[in-house]
Amino acid sequence: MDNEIKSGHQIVKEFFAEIEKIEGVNKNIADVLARLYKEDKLTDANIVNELEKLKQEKLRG
Amino acid sequence: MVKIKHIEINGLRGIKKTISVSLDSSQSILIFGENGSGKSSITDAFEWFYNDKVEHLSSEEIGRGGIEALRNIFLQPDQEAYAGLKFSESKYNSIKKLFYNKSKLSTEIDNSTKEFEDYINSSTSENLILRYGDLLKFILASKGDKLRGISQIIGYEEVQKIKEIFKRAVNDVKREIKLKNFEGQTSNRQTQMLTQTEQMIVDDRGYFDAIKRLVEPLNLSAEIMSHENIESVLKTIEQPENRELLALYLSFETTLSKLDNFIILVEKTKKSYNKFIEKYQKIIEDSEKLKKINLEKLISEGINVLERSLFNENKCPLCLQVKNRDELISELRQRIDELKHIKNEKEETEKDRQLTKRLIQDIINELASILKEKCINIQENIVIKEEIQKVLKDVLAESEEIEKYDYSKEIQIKSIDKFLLYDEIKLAEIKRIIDEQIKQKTAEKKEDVRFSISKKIALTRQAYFDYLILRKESEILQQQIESLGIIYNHFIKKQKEALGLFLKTISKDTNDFYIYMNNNEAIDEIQLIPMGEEDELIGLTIQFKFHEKTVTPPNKYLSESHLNCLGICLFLSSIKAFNKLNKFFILDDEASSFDIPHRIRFAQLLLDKFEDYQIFLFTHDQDWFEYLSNFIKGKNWITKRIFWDNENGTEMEEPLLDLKSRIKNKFSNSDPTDLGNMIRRYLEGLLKDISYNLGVKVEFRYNDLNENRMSNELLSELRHKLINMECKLKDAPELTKLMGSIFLGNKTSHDSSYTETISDLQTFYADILALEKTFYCEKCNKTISKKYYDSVKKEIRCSCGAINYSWK
Repeated sequence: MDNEIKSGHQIVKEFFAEIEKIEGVNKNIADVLARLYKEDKLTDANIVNELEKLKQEKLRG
Repeated sequence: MVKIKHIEINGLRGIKKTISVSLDSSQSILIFGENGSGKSSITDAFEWFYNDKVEHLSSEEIGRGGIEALRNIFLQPDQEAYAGLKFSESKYNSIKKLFYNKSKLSTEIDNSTKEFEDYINSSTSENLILRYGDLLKFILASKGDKLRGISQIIGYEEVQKIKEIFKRAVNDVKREIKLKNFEGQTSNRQTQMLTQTEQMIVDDRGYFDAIKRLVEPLNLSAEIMSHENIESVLKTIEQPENRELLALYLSFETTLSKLDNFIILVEKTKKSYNKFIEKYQKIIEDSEKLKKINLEKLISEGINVLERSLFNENKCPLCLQVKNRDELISELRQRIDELKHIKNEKEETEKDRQLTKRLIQDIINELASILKEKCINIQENIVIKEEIQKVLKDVLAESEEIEKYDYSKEIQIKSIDKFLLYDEIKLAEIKRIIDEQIKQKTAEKKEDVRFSISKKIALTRQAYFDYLILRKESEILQQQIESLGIIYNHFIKKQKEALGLFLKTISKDTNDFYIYMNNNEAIDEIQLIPMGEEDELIGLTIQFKFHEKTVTPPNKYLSESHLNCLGICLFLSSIKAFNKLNKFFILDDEASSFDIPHRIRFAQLLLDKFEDYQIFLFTHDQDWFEYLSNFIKGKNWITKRIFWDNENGTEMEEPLLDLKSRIKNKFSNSDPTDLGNMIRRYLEGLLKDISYNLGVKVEFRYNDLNENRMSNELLSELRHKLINMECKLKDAPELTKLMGSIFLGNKTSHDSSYTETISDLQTFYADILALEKTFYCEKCNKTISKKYYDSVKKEIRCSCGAINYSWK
């Protein structure tokens, strides 16, 4: 943990920049969340919709 | 980091005419001014420049952002007021103007660059100004307000928002799993497989094994070790004439399964509906609560209308009563906060309503799916189809009816025993009929071993594939929850770390600064402590060690001056923590409540811990100013005095050298504007300097009168002194000329009917310069002074002795 005080925005931005590196997290889910954040579309409804799409893709696969 | 190089203010608050200060961009400035002289006008100008409002002026009576109170009342309507700043980074230089545009106050900034816009936006989250009145705001705020205050500064709301989104998403997926009832459905498929194969099938191996046993009586040589093998076997044993029948059998089984699922769904939906109407009933039975809920809608919409600037005037959009817009928004927000718990109750009720609606939709989907089944669409099952269509119609009606529950109207609530009613007997009959049809078809084909086996394989296959899909879907959702859970926990950890670091840093600095100012006092380990559950922060409190005991809150234990000190320390530590862009800050009369030892330590603190900052320090306290003036000598500070007079408003005393240059410029440009006053100020400054050095005594006056001596008064007393000291200067023609000059004037005079010409002023000024030459040595740049009195020769002289006069 570095010692620089960060604003809330910095914390959130850095978190999403490194989300796919979190151990144990499904990469597709991490990518989806990062993309939604980048597009300023991160809401619980959008997350659930995207997860549903991922689920359907996997079921088809 | 940005510092200020030049300030110019005109027409704002008490500043009627332009005051300006140039700073070498690393210089700090100490400004002395009596109460009412206009120090805070400078602070107000800064605040308006950066924040587009002046907080302490914002009120219902004054109007939006305090802007109406900002303009100096003596400005003509067509005159512009402005605050201009030049910075160490010149790309931010700008002038912000305030003027009337068709009788409406408007503002305009001459720097329209994106860089400047970004700079101002970023600066609003930095702490730049501390006024005396703001010292205790944070300390005395509630724990929730403290958290909100810090949150606003560090942008913590964004963190909270993301956290809530993750939490809701996790709960949504969990709810999805619960609704799907994977366990029930997979169990149902296993039962079907058990019925057909008399074996419990949980994986491919068991499935292949079961199918192998089923085909044993047919003595096929085919291997059954894969799904393809099973397809191949089915094709082999299936008779073309039996395909329709087989499809019908599958349809029968599927329909029975869906009818069972329909019953389960109805039960679930009823439970959810019951929860909803219980909560709903509780709200509408409490008429006060009901009023507040209805009011909440209106208030929320009001805030929405105002914030989106759909209604821009300083009036209430409903009753059109005059009301400051920002204040109105703030009041409405407060009322929304008060209604928060009722709002939460309503939100929980709505969640139950939404869940019920979702379950009703699942029922609708299931019934629609049954209606598409082959077995329902055969001739002999027309009546069954009509029954199911009727049930679907009733369920659709329920779906519409649940929307009608409105907190504003009295609606008859449908009780649980009347909700989602269907004829259970009829449904049982439908199931029996289908069962009978299965048995009948089975009996017809009793002798056909191949058909019987292929039917079992087909049904087992269908059930097994359904089972696999359900299992896979359940696994996927579990993985999603797991991943979301990990992400959520990780986010909470980051949030805690960041907040923890921030609180630790600001606590440490606050504590260090406080102890610096209050050493030998029994206070230590000042900390900002978060309050709340694991992942739910609700507030902050200030905790500290007081006589070895850990206590909170500070206002319970500390005196006002100690609280003020704590306020300053918090402000200063927040500067260190947050101000990444600006390297300056303003302290407007902060040390008023401190005793002398604390003031001294405060001064030391500023110079020791903030020496690389540019500080604007204002005070009305003469002793404090004089102490500081000595303290900062030789350091990178300048001092200024400001004063106020009726004619010119707030003025800044200029060093004589600067004023002299300006006068010279005016003469060079033949510009008489304000020249007379500038020359009179120059004379006053000169006479004060001479009087100080010669020990001229004048009659004591109170407050600003003591400071604002008129030139004629000083000249007169100077003359007296010279006479008493038997100094030949008493008869100096320069002195006599000035004493008789009609241009000496009275600073407060407005009624002179004589307009001074450039020529008049040149003569007047020449007389002043002549007087100056008499007392001031251009060789050593010193005025003759008692300091250089030669007691042997009984002479008063300048430092180098080039000018000297007999002095008794």
